[in-house]
Amino acid sequence: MTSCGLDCRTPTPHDNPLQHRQNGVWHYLLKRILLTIPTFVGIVLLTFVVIHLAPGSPATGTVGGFGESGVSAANHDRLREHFELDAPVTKRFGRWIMRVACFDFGQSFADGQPVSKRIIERVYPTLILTFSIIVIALLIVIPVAAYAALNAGGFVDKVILGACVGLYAIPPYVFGMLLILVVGVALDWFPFSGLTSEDHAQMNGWQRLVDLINHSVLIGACILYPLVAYLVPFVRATMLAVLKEDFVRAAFARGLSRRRVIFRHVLPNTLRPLLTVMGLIVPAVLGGSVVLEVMFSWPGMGRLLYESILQRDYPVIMGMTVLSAVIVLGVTLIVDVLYALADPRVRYA
Amino acid sequence: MKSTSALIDVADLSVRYARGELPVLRDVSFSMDPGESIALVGDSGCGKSTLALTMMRLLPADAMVRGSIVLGERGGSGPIDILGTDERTMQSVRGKRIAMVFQNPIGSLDPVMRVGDQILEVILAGRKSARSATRSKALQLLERVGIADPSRLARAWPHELSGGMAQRVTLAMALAGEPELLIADEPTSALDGNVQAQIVELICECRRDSGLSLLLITHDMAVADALASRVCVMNENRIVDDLPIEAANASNRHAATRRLVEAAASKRQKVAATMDGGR
Amino acid sequence: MTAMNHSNSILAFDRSLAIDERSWLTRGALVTAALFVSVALFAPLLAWHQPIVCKYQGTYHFPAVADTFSRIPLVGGWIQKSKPFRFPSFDARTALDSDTFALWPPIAYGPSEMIAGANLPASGAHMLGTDDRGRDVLARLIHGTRVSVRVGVYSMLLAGLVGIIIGGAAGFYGGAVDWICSRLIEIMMCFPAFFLILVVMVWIGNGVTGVILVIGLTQWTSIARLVRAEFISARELDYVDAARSYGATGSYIAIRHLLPGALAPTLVVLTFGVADAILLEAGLSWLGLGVGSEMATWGGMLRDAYDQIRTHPGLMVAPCVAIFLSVLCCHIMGERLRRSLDPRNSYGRSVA
Repeated sequence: MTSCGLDCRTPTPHDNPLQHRQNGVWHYLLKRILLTIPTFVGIVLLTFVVIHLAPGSPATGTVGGFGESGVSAANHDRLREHFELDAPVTKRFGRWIMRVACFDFGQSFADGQPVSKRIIERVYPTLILTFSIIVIALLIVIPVAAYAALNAGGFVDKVILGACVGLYAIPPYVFGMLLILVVGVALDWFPFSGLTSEDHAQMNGWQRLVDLINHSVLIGACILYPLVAYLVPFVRATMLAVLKEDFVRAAFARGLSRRRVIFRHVLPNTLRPLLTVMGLIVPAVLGGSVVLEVMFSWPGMGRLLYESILQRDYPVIMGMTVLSAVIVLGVTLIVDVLYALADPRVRYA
Repeated sequence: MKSTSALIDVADLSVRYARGELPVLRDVSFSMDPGESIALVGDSGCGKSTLALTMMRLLPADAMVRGSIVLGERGGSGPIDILGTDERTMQSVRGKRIAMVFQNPIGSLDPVMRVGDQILEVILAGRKSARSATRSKALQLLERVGIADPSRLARAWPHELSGGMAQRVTLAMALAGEPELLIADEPTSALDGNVQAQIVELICECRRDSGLSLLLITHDMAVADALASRVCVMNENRIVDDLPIEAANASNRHAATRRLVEAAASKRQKVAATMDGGR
Repeated sequence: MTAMNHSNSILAFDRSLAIDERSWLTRGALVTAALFVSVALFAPLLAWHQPIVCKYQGTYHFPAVADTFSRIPLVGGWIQKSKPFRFPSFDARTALDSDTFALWPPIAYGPSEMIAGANLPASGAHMLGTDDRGRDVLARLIHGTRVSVRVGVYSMLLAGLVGIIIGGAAGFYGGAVDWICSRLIEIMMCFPAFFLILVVMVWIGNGVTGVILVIGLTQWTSIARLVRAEFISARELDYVDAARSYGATGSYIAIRHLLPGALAPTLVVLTFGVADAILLEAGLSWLGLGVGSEMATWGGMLRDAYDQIRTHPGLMVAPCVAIFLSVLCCHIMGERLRRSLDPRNSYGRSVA
């Protein structure tokens, strides 16, 4: 090879790396935000269809419903009025969009309060609990999964994986009943009903907080363990894949310490995929909250939905459905935006 | 150990994996003098890369290694037994005494860290020095490997680089620790022809500037010709020929050597023929 | 020269749980799954309030057998009308006197049949005791298996069908169809599944069919995403181009070349999905909003146990174990299937 005469200092044309960087992030973010609009319209449309086209629509008066009663005659008239079932479809859909956009679902059948007010006071506890549990789960998952991945194939790794498979197969409501039985009834360590004690009003700020946390420990544990059991194998597998990447070996070859390679190169690359899973975790946790909140008599979103269903409180039911989907939509959007900011490669996808 | 003046001495090296039946290296011995440049050539899968990784002690945990690799003395420190020493010593060997450049240049950079930060990190590895001094050293390194606008490149992400650019960056990172020996594992195989020539020229230049020894791993005799003074031919997991580069063309050589030389010759002819046809 | 193991190397290889072909874990899961399915299929032969065979007013009748087969889709109606299975409606307990011939199932109680004693402990007659309304726990467990297996299998078949159609259309046609299908998937994924299922159940009412429909029609998103991704990546492969160059039509390519590749990973997701469907159904039944309180279900049994958790906590055990085992089985089988498709992959459910 006698090509040594070539001037190696001349960059090739595509060696100008930075040409499309200026608008990369903003272009991606704008596109991502605009994409939520059709999804939002779809959510509105789907809920509309659920109300109007289901076999037992309120208009036909054949609502089978649960338990002893269907829809009472009085409620049936209110339903017709509330969902404006006599108006033409296009008009009804327009109204429904407006309702959703303004978050105004009228008044609850149960107590005549505005639906939005009823829902919002129940949303806070669930959302705060959900997000604190997710944070706690991550604090547990990351070190455990990292340890398992770095000792893959070892005894501890096998025990961790086996525990995750076993724990994940226990449904939260089974676990919840076991907790109530053992920790609540037999040991009497934590209260397992409600969010506050009877004397909550007389407590000072600090005691109130402790009281709230005490009442959330058991339900929190029931949300926490399936998350951990699901995420540990996921993070472990991601990390094993990252460990096999060329750049990890190259980083070692450059003389970086093991600690530095793990914390600066392996972990950041492992945690980015974890971010995308959050968009799937939030709806799963919200959905799972129904049974748990009923079981622990915990005043959150899930229990409100259950109560509204028992009372045939349709305005609240529809408000809850839309709101839960919008919350998930928002979380997915935030996660995607964070991901784009965290991973330079996504912006060109 | 043949001589204490050798840069690195590999003796009777055998490697096998616990999960595999056959050894991936069988009784490999060779030694390198300071400043020497050796090409390790052979078909793919014959154990070249394993040899390089063994010399860096970067094999997977289930690899069983027999034999010895001794790195010669430098400064005050005595010879280092690479297979027997502790991980801490190995950290001071990797990058600082033996550096390595890999086949896939973009893949050997962390995708979510800016190029400049990765270079800084290598310069800072195991050392304490002022941030600004390190920064200017990083820019100097980038300039040295032929990058026209180092400060702009330092802000780029690895995926924004072309293959040739990325290989220049990894070369800069390899040079950062001022090593005695550079192991280049197929440094040009993943690159286009034109860029290949540039990288070969760049390695030539670096060797001229700093008296660096080179262990070049390649399957391409043409690249070996351009960079090395001695060839070790590997075939079926062992070294079958060890000779000066000029002698590789002689006829009384091992079949594997002849095959590689002929392949390079016929490739040169084909390229020439295509270029003629194109005109 | 000693052999040395670089135990301090970080580039360790993955040797995780032994979920492979020969392991006892896989075998156990297969056997247990087969057991669940057979119990579900032959539930009335195991526990029923009528005999398997009996002689009544001079002729032989097969009430439990008839009931077993009458639930098979399509042929069920024909079996009920066929002569050996036709029988007058009668209460076997009172109508049959002790000396007429009758072969009873091993557990001679129906799932909803109320027996004299409530909350009886386990005994020879009631192997798992009775619940608060005097119903035999084992009989309820057996018939609950029937509901869980039906919901798990049928809802996932439905979800698989919907997912393959929507994901396949998105992946095969691309462009506007892909855009619309992708938005549809995204919309469905925004709803917490349990919320949507609950709300739809309000409108369509109780019943096994309703539960199957609702679970099937909400749980198809992961399959659709998977099939779409498989189709898109397969479309790029050379053999599809080759098929097109032979003049194969679009639908032929989709069915003969693209679909088989997507089916195997779909099967994996479906196997995990059966577990999710069983959990969803049990959750619905726990809330009393599932298949209806008149049917025996694992979730319903769990709810009964919850209501008397202070006095009779032992009632929890049977449904808990049943749910746990069925879910575990599905997970192990799913994991085994996934490994056989991609042997390099370590444990970790795919989340995509």
